[in-house]
Amino acid sequence: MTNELGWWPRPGGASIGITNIKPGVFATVQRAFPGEFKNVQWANLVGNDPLDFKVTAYYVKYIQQKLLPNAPTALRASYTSDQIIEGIYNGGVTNFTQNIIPAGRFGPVVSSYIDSIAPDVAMAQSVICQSGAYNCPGGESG
Amino acid sequence: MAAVLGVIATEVAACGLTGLPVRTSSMGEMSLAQIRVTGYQKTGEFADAEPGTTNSSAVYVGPPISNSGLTGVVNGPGVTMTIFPRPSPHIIVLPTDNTVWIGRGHAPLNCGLLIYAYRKGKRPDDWWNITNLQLAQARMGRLSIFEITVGCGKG
Repeated sequence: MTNELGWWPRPGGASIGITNIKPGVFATVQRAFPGEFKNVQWANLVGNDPLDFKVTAYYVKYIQQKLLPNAPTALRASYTSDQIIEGIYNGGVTNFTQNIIPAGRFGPVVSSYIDSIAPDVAMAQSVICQSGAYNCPGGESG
Repeated sequence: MAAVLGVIATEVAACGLTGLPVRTSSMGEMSLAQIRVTGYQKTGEFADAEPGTTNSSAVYVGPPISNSGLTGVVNGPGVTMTIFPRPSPHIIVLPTDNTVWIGRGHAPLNCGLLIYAYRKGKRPDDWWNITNLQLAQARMGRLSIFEITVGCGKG
């Protein structure tokens, strides 16, 4: 994949935009939801917060549609659906396919991530669900 | 903060004498580099990294081959491969997907191996570097296109 910022000294290129989107994730989302991302490129994420959040939201939707429905039973027994999405978001699709499906559990790095963001997720849930703007699971709706 | 400073220090140190950023190969890239696919042209590569893992993918183009036939042409130190009886276990195939997961195995350097087959008629990723002619021939069944991904680490 070629782009103007492709010199970043890590595999996969730089993470750009307020939500830290890498080229691979952007390409995945653009392919999965072509009608939503016409005429935009990964480099357009710089300084474009609405686009950054939109790509992030659609990547979560991609995980939700492609990987969550048939996630292994052992994984579902240990994590909520939101936590499974968090784990795939953090660890990546290859890690999920290669390691998590056969093991039925997340590895140490991703598990630690899921635990560490739990307070932030709870706070976001509280703010969003009490805002009155969204219908939330469990009946906390606006 | 300490972790951030550590990363910065590592990358500054990696700049070398030229002052330009220098990136050494990841474990995923080193593993993939040891895989040979007899009779097939590697047209593109893409490497990535996630917390706890690195991965690297390559796309290969060549004569028509069955999924099960791939086990006979993919070679490398410690490489093993199992083709699934039914593709894409545990993973939904979306209408927009350009590949389908058909098998798994072991890759060099104690990494894992995933293999994907191209879905005819779907648009290839840019990094595949597939020509229009190759794409047309694949659609007619005269060429096979498949992707090998190696993943290293236990995220």
